[in-house]
Amino acid sequence: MEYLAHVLVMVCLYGILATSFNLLIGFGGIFALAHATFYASGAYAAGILATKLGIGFPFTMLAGIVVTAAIGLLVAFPAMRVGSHYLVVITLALQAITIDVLMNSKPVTGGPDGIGGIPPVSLFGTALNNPVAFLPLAAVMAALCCAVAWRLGASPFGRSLRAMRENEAAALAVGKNLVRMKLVVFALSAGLASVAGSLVAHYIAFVNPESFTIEETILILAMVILGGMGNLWGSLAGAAILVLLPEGLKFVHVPGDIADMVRQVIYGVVLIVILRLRPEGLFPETVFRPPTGAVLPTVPANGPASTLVRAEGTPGEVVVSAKALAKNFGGIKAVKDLTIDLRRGQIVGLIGPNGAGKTTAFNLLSGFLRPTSGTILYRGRDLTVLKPHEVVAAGLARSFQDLKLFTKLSVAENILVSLPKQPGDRLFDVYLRPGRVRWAERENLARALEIASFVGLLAKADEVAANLSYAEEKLLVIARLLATGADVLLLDEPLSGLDTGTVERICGVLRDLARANKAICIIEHNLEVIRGVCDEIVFIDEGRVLTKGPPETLMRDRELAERYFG
Amino acid sequence: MTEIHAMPIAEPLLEVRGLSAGYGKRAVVHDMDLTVRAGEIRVLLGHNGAGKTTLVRSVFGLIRPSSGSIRYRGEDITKRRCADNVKAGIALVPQGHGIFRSLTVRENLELGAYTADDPAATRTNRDAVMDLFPILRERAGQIAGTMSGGQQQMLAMGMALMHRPDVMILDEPSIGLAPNLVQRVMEAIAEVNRALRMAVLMVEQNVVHALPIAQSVTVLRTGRKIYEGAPEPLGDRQYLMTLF
Amino acid sequence: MDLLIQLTLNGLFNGAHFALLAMGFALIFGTTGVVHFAYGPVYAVGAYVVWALVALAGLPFWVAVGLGVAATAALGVASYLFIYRPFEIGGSPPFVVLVASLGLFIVIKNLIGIVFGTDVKTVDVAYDVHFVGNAFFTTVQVGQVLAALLVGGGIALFLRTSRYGKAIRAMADNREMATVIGIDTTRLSILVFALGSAVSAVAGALVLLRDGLNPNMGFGAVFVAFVAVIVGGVGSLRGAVVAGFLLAFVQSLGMWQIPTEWQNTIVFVVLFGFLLARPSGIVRRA
Repeated sequence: MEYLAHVLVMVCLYGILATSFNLLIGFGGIFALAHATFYASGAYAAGILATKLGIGFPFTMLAGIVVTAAIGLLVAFPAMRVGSHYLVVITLALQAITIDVLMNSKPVTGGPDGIGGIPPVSLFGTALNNPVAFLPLAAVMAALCCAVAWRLGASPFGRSLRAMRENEAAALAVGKNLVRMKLVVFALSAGLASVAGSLVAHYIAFVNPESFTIEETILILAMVILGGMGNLWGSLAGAAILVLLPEGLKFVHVPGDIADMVRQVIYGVVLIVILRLRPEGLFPETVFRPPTGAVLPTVPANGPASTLVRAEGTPGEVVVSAKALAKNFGGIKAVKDLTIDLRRGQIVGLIGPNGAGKTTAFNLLSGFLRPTSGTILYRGRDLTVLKPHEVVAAGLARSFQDLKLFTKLSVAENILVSLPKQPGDRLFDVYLRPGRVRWAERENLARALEIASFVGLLAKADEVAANLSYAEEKLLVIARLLATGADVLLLDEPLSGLDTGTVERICGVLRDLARANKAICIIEHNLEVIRGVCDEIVFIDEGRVLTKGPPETLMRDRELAERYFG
Repeated sequence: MTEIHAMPIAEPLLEVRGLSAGYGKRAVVHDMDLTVRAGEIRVLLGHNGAGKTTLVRSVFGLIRPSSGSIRYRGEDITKRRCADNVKAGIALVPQGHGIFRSLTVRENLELGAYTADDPAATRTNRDAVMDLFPILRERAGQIAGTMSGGQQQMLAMGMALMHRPDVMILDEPSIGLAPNLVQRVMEAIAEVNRALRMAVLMVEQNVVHALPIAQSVTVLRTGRKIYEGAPEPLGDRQYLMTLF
Repeated sequence: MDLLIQLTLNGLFNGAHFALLAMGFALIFGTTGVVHFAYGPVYAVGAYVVWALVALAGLPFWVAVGLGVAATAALGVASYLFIYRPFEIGGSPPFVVLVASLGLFIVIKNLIGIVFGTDVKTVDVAYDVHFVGNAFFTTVQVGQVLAALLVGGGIALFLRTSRYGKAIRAMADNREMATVIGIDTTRLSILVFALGSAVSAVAGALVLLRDGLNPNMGFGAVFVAFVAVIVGGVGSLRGAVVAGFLLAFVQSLGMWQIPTEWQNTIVFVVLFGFLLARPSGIVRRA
């Protein structure tokens, strides 16, 4: 009985660790492998506070959460500077430093011997000093932590996290503040891990550095990957399996230290095998499908340009005015002198030979690059030094040549995540004002479906973006752009690679948008399309505007033709 | 093998039939036919994203086509690996960095003949290439990445020539070069074609410079062929504008 | 003053050790792009094989080193062929390969512990101690420097002059272009895994003489190697060697003021500093 309770307590603790780690790597796509550090921080905080200052359980845990969340925030900073391989290496190094600190700060941490004699949790006058007595507490805490993680994962914030994981640039381009999101998910994930730490400290009554080595992080990682990244139930299952699996060793008689090593070997083998055979894990990512069916009846079947996409202001008014933009990369002047006005209700075509600086111009206008000189005004407001997500919030959004869809999200989610000012993107509202979040979500879903209907993707609303045809992907890009609520839309090659039918369809959508008073600028190589859809052409060559005017006039210009083809 | 380039219609060297190719589910090239005859310069024109690069990369074996066939000297090479195509006499000069930037010019040239087993022949070839592009002899010991863009392009071509191919595929050799350099590169291509009687399949966007050396032209738009024939009619830019 | 000389000497000798480790790792990582974390335990296996052949089988040290190098090369090739290559063929994203290498890391590390036990292993090979004033160094340490010079020189010569060596540099420079000119990248990957692992075994054999072995030794080794490669600039063998010495000197001179037990932390702090300030390394690529 004691033994069974002990195993279940361990399942609970690792369940907390795995779900919290999953938030970071499965949802956020941030490969910071320092989870054992957060675990250790919680455990040592409890050990030190309880033995040195005589503080009791719930308070040791709360203090641990605060301290560990702060450490999480610190780790978040390098995570923003470096990506992929380097992040893994940096965080593993951090993990090693943790061990060094624990080993070498003897007066505080007890060095290699650790801290013993941590008093057990005492609740309602009884000390939980055996596994059977401790199990209920562990189970309740695990349920609580999982609920916190689950609430976040299923919220609009969780959706934004998954969007960021799929494509950071695109998440930025639909107005997400990635810095804030990363800080929040790091703090939360670290805080939850520290809960497991406090519990283990009070439960075992002893902490030492050996429990928090890199192997521990790899074990938790194996649990997450086995269960399935992005699936929180999967993490619980992964924790249960990897806690239970080596328990079989108890029944063959091997010495304790060998058994420990055999266990590690098993973890390693499981990790490699699952990556080979089923990289998505036993339980693939949860798709929190928004209940599109419930909202569907309110959406017009094939919507015209409804009020939802109509921008205010008078047609022909200049919305964006960029003056003398220049951008140098090292010694190379990618853009020299770019002056361009975008007007309400008009479609401007940006053309020019390869390498003329068209995409750089978009990057400058949308805040992805900061111009070396020049200004960008949006209805008189200076956008020049704003970050991309601030530019989107101001009302100017852009798309990418290579689409950058959130491929593992559904069509509806791709649009939903791009809608501005969602209460569900704020942690405070997610946990403390669930009603408001739910209400806003219903409204947003209706809007998202209206947009889907506008571009003709309503029937595919529940389809995962990865399953769309290329033409549908291009339509989804436009839908996502519309969802941002921006009234200036920059589209980078919205028509390339499409058959004539789809080109016509998208041209129709673009004309509708212009009629809805949006200011539109497209980069396009297909001159036939340019002729068909643009009100004005801006011809760029070698980083500067060569000439501008109506398509018919420019297309007849012999010198321009020479330049275009030369 | 005499005077092949002077004959009005030479034998087909590369024959692409019904080729479709792309990336993932996105088909970029649809049901394409293309023939390159011995000794000719065929230029492949088209706007950005028209499928030119995808087409030549699948011909060379870097991308596996989803359907269709590629024959070289009458033999089916659709599923061959690049290394075998190189040995059979096909060379590719890829877009952009077709060289090893951290190696010397000499080493780059030697690596161009990686699949060849006759060191003496390789030396002869290297001398021939250096005769063709004297700048490469001058800069033999220099680190390739420190040369100018035009010189790097010459080196890329020189590498392709090192194993004496029968057909050289060039993917936008003019990209990123100043106009006078583009002119020089095109002259070099014409010279190679004349001197070595080697067929050339060249992807280009720079119509102005590519047309004068072209002997036949194929124009692609969104993955399909919209023009095939002599270069002359395309001299009319107005006509080109309507094509693009 | 004596302390300064001693610390400088330590830096030099340890630098040779780090440089060897970094060279092997740089060859593998620079050419194939695989973040081979199991490089550490594979190196440890090499050292344990040498120990077993000397202490258990009674073979002469040099014979044992030869066999140990061969065994390590074989293990390196096996990890490529059976672990990493299937992922490459399947087109797995790089992080999947990296996580697999972490899995392989704990498997090999713990297998060492199971097979050989966790106590420190040493061999009885006599060597001399030399003095410079009050500072001293041993013949083993001189051996480390010689090994670093010989192996480093040999690899440099191989990469510069031989056909395969040039092909390896080509592949490290531009993998796609290597395919275009007909280089068989799989065969070269096998070659660099063999070569890189063999180099690490040389370092391992000398550490056996100097410090003795324990199953945890691989972790510090792969980290030092990785940090040296990042600091030296990915793709630059010379950079990795220079950075290896640099790390050793920083570590050694740091001990002037900082207690010994913080040695690892010093290396990691250097890594943080470098990655945050200058992600491209000290030796800039052409």
